[in-house]
Amino acid sequence: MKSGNPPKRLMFSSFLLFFVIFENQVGVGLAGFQRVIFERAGHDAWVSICMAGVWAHITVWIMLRTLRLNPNKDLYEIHKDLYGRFFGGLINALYMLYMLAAAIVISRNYVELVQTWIFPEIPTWLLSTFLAMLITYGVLGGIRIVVGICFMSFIMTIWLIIVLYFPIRYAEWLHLAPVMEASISELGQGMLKMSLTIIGFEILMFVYPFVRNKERASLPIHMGLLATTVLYVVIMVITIVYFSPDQLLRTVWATFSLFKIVIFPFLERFEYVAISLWMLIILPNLMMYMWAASKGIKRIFSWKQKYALYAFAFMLIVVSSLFKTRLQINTMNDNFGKVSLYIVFGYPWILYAAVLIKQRFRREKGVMS
Amino acid sequence: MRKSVIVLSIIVLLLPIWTGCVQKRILEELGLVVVVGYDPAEKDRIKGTALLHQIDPAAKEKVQVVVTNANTSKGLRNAQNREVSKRVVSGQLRVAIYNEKLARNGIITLADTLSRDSVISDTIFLTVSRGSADNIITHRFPEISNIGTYLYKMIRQNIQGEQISSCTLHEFIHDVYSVGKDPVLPVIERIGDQILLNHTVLFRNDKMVGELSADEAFVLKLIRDRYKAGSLEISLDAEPFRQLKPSFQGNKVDIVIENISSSSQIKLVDPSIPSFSIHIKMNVRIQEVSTDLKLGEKKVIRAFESEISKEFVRRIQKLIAKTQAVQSDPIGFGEVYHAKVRHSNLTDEKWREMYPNAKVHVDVKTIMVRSGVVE
Repeated sequence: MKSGNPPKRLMFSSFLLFFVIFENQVGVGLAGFQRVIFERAGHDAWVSICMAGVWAHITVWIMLRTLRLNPNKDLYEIHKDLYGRFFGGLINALYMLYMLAAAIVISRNYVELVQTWIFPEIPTWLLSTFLAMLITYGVLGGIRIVVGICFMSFIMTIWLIIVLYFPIRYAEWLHLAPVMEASISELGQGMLKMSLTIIGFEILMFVYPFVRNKERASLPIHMGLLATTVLYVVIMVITIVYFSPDQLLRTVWATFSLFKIVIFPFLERFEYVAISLWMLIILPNLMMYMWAASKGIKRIFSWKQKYALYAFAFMLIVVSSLFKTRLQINTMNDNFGKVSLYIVFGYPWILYAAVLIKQRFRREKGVMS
Repeated sequence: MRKSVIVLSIIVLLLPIWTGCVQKRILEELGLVVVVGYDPAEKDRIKGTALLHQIDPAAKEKVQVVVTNANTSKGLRNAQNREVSKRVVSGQLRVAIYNEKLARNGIITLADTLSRDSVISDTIFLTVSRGSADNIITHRFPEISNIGTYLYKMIRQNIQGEQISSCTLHEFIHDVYSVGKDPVLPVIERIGDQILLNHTVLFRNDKMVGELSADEAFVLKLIRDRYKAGSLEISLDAEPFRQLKPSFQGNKVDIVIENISSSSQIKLVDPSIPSFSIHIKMNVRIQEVSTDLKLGEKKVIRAFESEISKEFVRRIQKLIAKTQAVQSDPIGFGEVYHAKVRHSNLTDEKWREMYPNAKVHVDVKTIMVRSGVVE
């Protein structure tokens, strides 16, 4: 596929972007983000999340401007256009690795969740293999299938919010007071710690060319971001009022610990259901990243995307198995969070500046000749 | 199409290998722990008593009691496994009982292991036993087939009936780790073939420091929880009633009231002392009166309302004094303080020093809603 419009049969309607953005942001980070932010910002953690949400909106706005200046190009092509074949290829390779790493981080974290909560003795490679097979199966269907899975996943998992009524019954609303006790720098640190949880919207740079009616794309995108931020804030608030401060600092996956109090007459342990359903929540994440990463191989080396996908799926299994302990996984998450901060929140600005400079340069050239 | 058939067949072929990777849990081969009791043993070890429920149609006894000694509670489970033919699992654990002697030394490590284990629900009940826990679990009750389930239902019934404060694992851990709030747990005692649930234990963090009677626990619950219903027998001073009805004999009036709904508000008045005010609004219903006063008259109703309020104020003051004496704050004044004072950096030690000096102004407003079907 040369640049220019992708074929009509591969395109999807713009309103689906809402689900793509939402599902790609909501992932494994949601399981245990509360503690990390609470460490920094205390009971004002929800303010940090609002700030991170606003920042995400601004970043997406910049991304959209960049994309509009380069119609029908995804990020790989924009890079090639900007930095030339060699440097563009290098940056593309880095971005591709980042997305592959994202997929690995997500799947490894999920596997750890299952190992901690349900099957302590399940080997990592086994679950990773299952996930890798599912991902491969989905991505082989192409972008429209992956977007469809985003939609399906949203419909099938959004009802979990209702269950949060149970922890609210044990809520101590006093925990939220006094509001704004944290200093600006503490709130800022909390916001930075949100990176791992709030990333996912950078996928926009790759799916945008496939949107059928681009002029109406920005509303669903921003709505998706808003929905994610609201969800995170709601869950953070419930977490703060449900746990006492020191208790929260000792809780690794606060979201599932919230589910631990849920009890139905016909179902005593709801968290088992929640963890199993979580697979549906992370699946769109994994598929999107794998789709975008394997596309990178096609763009850089002009190989078949299918083979790249197989290779990446295999890598996912192997690399996931290298991480064994809670400590290693924590370190991995921290480092990935730091890197993602630069790539997702910082880099779009540089990119936008570069695109503007290039345009001006071209315009001057045009005037000269 | 053909490809997916190939993939599918590969998956099906590999299925037996994959499923072999996870430990199977066959119900007939498991011993389900329903209740555990912890007692102190010699040399700082703990004695654990577990009651296992068995799924075995052939067995006469559906329960089995295992008593073991170990240094840690997970060590207890390993020791239990060595004593029984089935694998001990704690997913069905419903009640944990701690001996008061252990409770005095602190039980956070024992409670923490329960909350750390993902298999154990956060909704299990923690209790303190009068005397040894072993004594309750190993006793053969003629009318109770499974003491674990019985205890669970009994505690649940009392919590739902608003007789005792909720004592789930989550709430205990929450209050232990909270600065400015301490947990309370109910006391179980066995007298002959009977199980009683009367008293409530006060904790300082995770150490037992005192006890409350059932009446005191009722008052505590009134302040602490969003209260719905619970009934209490109180005796009122007869003086005001004598004015209404000169023929009245005796020097007190006993009544039983049922609390239909109530709300309590704790406010911080002055952070420097610290002083607090508690406002309680109660809607009550009279269930029983020891005299034949005309409950239809406005004056009588007013007299009852003010007397009930006075009695509650007195009881609450007494309760607070009692908790201050043992430096335990089950009501959560510290949390209020922490929420209202900016940058207080309240620590546990700080609050322990402050709390005994706290002044509390209590204000109770009682509204008599109903007095039954006769007047």
